Amino acid sequence: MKPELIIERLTCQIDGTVILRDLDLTVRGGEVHAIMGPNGTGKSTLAAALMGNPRYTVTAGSVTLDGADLLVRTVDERARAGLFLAMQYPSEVSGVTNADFLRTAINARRPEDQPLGLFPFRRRLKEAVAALEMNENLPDRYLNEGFSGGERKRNEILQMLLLEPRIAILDEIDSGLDIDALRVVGANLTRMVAERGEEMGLLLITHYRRLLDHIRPDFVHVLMDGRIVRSGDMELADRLERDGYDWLREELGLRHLSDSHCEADT
Amino acid sequence: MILIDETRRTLGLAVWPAVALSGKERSWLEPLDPPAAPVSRPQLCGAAAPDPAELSRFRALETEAKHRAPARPLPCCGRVRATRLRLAAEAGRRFLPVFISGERGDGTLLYLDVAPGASAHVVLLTLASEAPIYIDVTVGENAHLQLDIIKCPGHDSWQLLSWRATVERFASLVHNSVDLDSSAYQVGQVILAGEGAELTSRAAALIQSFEEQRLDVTVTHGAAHSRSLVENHGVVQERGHGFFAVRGRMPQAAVAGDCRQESRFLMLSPQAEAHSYPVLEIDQYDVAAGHAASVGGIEPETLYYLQSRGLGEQDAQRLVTTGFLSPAIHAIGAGSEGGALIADCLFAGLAERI
Repeated sequence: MKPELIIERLTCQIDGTVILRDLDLTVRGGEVHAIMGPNGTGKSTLAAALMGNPRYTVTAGSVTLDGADLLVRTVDERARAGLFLAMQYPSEVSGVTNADFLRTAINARRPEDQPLGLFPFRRRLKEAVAALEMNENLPDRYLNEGFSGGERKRNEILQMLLLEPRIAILDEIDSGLDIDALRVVGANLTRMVAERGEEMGLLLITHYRRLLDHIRPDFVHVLMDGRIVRSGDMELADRLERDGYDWLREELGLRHLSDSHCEADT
Repeated sequence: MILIDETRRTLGLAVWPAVALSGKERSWLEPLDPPAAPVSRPQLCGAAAPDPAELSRFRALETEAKHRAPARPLPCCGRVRATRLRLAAEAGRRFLPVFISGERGDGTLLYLDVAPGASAHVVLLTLASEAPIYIDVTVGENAHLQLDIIKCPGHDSWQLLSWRATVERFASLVHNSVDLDSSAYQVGQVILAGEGAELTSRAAALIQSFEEQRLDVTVTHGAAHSRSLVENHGVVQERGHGFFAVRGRMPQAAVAGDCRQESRFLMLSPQAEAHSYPVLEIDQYDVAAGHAASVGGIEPETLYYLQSRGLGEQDAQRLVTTGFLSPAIHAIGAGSEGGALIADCLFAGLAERI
């Protein structure tokens, strides 16, 4: 079944500060959406709220995945329902090898009596590690411990390849990647989108157009002031790259962040 | 002996010879199943019964003095039977399990001599024994010894153990200690006596409710260019009590020495209690030294990250806890083929307990 993530009038806050206001967005299988926007406008908050990060509180609105209410579900239930978030700052887990973690995560999505065998798992892992041009010793390293910024981001993509989500959200996956790494990640994302077709929808959160050179979005949205203020296609991304956000602020009558309370990148 | 044979089979160690020691007997145990290749027999013999002066070289648990509680030395009022095990240099690395059991009051003293140039992996498994155990290790020049001290899972009893080791020139000692279910008092003293001598010591302590594990390690850098790393990790459940004390001593002889230590506790309950005492005594300018200590719970961000990949809260906690204790167990597995089998059993035992 083609997945469908529907966000309606989502309002979300952290520590009493409202970050998202009445945000609407729909992502369907086979679609690639890109969300762009200045710092501190709520891009990462959207990703965290969808995944169920306990630091964020949804105060209004609804989110459904395939018609089922996502907001009443726990973080792990959302993940098992097919949502995946490639995080901006993945946690380190000492003593847990990448391989053990990934196998546990894959088996958490399968019926208890049908776990993925060790050899099929190792084969899939080896293929994915090779495709991402990662170090061969990565499966036996502790999860994200001692990883460079680029290795962490590739590791997030590795997890996505193996977990095969229905809706994947990539939060600034391009930050910390050098040119070659960006090319490899982009190629893998493009291949995954092509191979899975309508089985997966993709939501890219990014500051820069360069990622979109590698994986072309069907829709480009601008998030400002906690809501999506403009949607378009690659031409919109081109203009943002060329002209920045000031023209849009003027058109919409929004204040510049430096004129108001300036938040950290939320 | 039946109990030891059962344990050997449970751990997958049937093809290796072993040694069984207690306050009453010492035995060389032939392989239960025929080994793929003949195994040479190390020298195992009796030694003179130690006098009180000899036993006083082993440290008591000084750490309790920090709580102004009376010092509680290892009980050594009963009979102590001494055994000497000599490991000669030979081709390849020798793997030797040593099982220690016995009744309260009957102590065991093992002299473990590793000849210059030899390489060995000795796994000391304590069964249901509340008798005091003393281990006196000498690692000869250019020799390598991995000494793992494991409280055999499923054999509930106190482990009362004091060990001391002298590491000679360019020799190395790797020590791993694992206890997943019983209370333990374990004190160690390591003297890096020769130039370039090295120690790596790791501990994994799963401390269950109403149990107490106290580990105390003192490393003295008695020669130049010696290196030590001590990493103790403990997980404390419910009303468990953990205690790590590590002292790094760098006298003037420790020129260009490197002394590191880390003691960390993961607390799984507000009722759990843990104490960590990192100490460095430095009397030489030309050294590198560092210590780290922490007592805390599982980071909420870590749980969130693992749950975001589909793991339930309990599975995520279990994974973090297992990972926290895994460095010592992984190191046992890396020591030899037999060590890998023991490590598998320890991980299985860990999974049952958390």
